[in-house]
Amino acid sequence: MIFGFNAEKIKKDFPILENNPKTIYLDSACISLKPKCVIDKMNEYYYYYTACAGRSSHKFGRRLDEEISSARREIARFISAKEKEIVFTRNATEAINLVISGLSWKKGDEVIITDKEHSSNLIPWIKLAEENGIKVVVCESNLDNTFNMKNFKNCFNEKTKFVSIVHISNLDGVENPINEIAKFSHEKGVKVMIDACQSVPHIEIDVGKIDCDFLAFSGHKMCGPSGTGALYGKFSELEKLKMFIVGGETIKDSSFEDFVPEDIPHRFEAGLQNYSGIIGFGEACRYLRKIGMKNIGKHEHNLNKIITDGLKDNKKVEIIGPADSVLRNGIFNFNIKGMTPHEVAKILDSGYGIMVRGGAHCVHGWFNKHNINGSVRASFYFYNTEEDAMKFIRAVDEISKIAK
Amino acid sequence: MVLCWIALPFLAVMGIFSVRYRKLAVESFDCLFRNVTFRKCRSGFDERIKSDITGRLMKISPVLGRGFYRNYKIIIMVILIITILSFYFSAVGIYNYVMYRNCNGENSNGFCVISSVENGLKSNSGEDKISNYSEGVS
Repeated sequence: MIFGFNAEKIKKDFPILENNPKTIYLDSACISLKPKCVIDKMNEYYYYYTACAGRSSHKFGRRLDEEISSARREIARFISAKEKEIVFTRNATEAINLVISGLSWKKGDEVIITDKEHSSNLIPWIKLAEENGIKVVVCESNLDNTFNMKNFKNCFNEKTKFVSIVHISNLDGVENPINEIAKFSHEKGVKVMIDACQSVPHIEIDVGKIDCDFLAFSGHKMCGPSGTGALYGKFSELEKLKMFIVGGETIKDSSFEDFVPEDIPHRFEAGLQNYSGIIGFGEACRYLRKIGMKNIGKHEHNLNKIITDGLKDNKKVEIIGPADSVLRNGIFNFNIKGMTPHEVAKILDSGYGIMVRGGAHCVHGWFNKHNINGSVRASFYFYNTEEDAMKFIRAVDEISKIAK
Repeated sequence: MVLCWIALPFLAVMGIFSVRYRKLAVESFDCLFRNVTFRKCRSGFDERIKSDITGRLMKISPVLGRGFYRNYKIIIMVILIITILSFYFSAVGIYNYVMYRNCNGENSNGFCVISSVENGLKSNSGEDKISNYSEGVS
């Protein structure tokens, strides 16, 4: 156990786990559970100050403005950014699309991604390639799924315009060396966007140290409500972006011919926002900071080590990604020989109350390339205990015995 | 695949009352339709039901779960045959009842479940009492 960190005690913060005491939730890479403080904070908006932000000068409106501003400050602080560099979005997918739509592209421009990108950081680029004639260059990983810096450097040429890369893969938990990636890209005069959906909720992030131009993440994977996300952008880069969705709240003034855009970041937040969600997102950051991101990271590594050690000798269990659990952060992705991933996931659920994800985890490209028909992904968070890990090992062991 | 064939009639009836079963009935029908048009079932219906039952049996005993998982096809075939036989005999019984007022056929005194149910319904609804009352009045 990590000093001062007690997962059993933390579990009590989550009403859903109190209401389902026998359930073991190992699908946090998809969506995390929500602590009571976040749920309460969201409800506060509906109970005490339902209003429109930024336009109503009455008591409710003023209170909401304060809460939204406080949430933005909290989220910015969480990744060591400035308030004005945080744009609220519905999720990371929208954040990535916002950047892609906001930049100017010409035929022949090249964008570098990796072979393990989530659909959210792949499909928008494919669509852009179809519509604008850009070229998507895919950087191949090493055989053990770790990042290949040499391959990455070889992807560059004079046409390279942008790098958009996942930080921690939702496929296998492998962390890409984004500091080096950003440094090298900038040396070549290329801008960098990071898909940080699986890193911001699990490890300490300092956008200043990373020195990326854009960073996208979701609220629902970090104890925040669904339908929330954020885009970090260096202020100088946000200034260069064209407006994305336009309309109410994105302008200061307009005539029938022209309009004056709002200040950054508000010009990118069109229409009435998900206020309760944004406030909940801010509260989630506050909560995670209280738990301590270093503690969270260490705890997940510990759980992954227990599970990897417990299953590595099982000949029917095939781990996806590097053998060393330290390199896989909080994700244990595997297959059982002779069974489909959906079968394993369903048996874990109906027989053991263990919730995992079976399928291609929105990384279809990687699975198709390797000719693998999906996998079973167990993803941990700080509310999972060592006891959960032991139960998972026993369950997988028993299930592996039923395969022929 | 076979499971879709067995499950469809049951799920179709249960689906009248519950959205949950309606969704399963639609999946089951889709699977059946694809089967009869010589295409692969894509809903994963069989796989899901098989895994669900295996999991529930694993809870009771891993040996039971393993036995079901490994012999799934045989078990489902047996259930299919029993289902077909049961439908066949029910149809014959209904036909006999309609024709001869006894599900066992003409001039039979054997037990007939439909007659028993019918008699039970009559006595519960008080049909005899009503007829007696009518006679008294007249």
